[in-house]
Amino acid sequence: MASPKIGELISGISSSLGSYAPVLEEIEVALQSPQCSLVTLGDAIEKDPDLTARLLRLGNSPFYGFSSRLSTVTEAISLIGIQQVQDLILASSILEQFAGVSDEFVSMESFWRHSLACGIGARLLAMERRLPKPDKFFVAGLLHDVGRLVLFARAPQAAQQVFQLYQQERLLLREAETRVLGYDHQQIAEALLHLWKFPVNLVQAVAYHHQPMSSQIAREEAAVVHLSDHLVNAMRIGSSGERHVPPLNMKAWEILRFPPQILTGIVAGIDEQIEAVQAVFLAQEIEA
Amino acid sequence: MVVESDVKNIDDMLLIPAGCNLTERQINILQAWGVVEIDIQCTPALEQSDPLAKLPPEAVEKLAAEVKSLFWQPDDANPIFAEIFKVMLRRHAIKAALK
Repeated sequence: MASPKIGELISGISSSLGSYAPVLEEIEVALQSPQCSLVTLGDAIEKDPDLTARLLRLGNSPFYGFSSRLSTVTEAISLIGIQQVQDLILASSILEQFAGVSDEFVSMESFWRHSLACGIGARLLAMERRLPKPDKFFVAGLLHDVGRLVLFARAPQAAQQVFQLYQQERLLLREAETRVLGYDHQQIAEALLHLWKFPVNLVQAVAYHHQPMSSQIAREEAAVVHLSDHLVNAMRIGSSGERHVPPLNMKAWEILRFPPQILTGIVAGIDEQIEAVQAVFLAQEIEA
Repeated sequence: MVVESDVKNIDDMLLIPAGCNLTERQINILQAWGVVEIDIQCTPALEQSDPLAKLPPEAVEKLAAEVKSLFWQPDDANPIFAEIFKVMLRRHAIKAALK
């Protein structure tokens, strides 16, 4: 049986981001208005009680580590920043999009735990490197293996062939994907994120997380996601199906110019945040 | 580092609650308010000392082999791999001790 083409996997996926799309749109419209205020933005978010509860819970978690407790959305926006709040809504909507994927190939809880941990690590590394908009790195880390979900959901027979080959031969899962499909999960994610009109740097950070130096415009971003994925695989926090820790690209390590001593703190930070972040994003419903 | 007791300014406004993990952002807050001294919790003995030192040599060897087997291409000659391996070995030892 011929393998599906990437376009076939993506066709039929909605280009809008589910039930959170209206909130994101309302925020975008409000931001264009000269009368836009924190209250206007807060009102837009508070229309969705579940989103409000998630935002406050994350704002009060070690992910941000604020010294005082946030109790309203406007407080959260003023302390976290509207751009970051938009990124968090985006992250929630992505999880919602894939809520129905079965556990046939990989436990979905384990998949998202791995993805969230990679997002936390990427954000911590970006902060350590003092890169702008570290919350964008959280989204990139969260999405780094999303191409696999598309494969599991849209082409389960092809996914089955990939896992069969992976079990039979000594390969990385990504290599098995390329052998069976002619492409891997990075390229599927690239097509999906283009469909969703994500910024090109974020698309490339995801699309090149296994070979950051091949990215034309987002090597540093892709290198951050690559390093975070390497650490999280070694920490054994969840799994997206790969049983080994894929090799670290040394050129990617070099462009980040980190002293090796930072790794202890990054690993400790991921351990410190993962339970709280998982509780926010993977809880079915959160009481306000 | 974890803050031992509430840190307040001279107007009794809470700056950092007890139990909070001290981050660079909070250090900036402390500097902005002119706070020069706070109480920090003692690090638990498990984290303070090398967790591997508490294990018998054969257990360390077994754990090291397990951790190394996770990696697709372990390269002991590479200093970055060596550092990552060391961090992961310590982490796995701490996790094993906590079980």
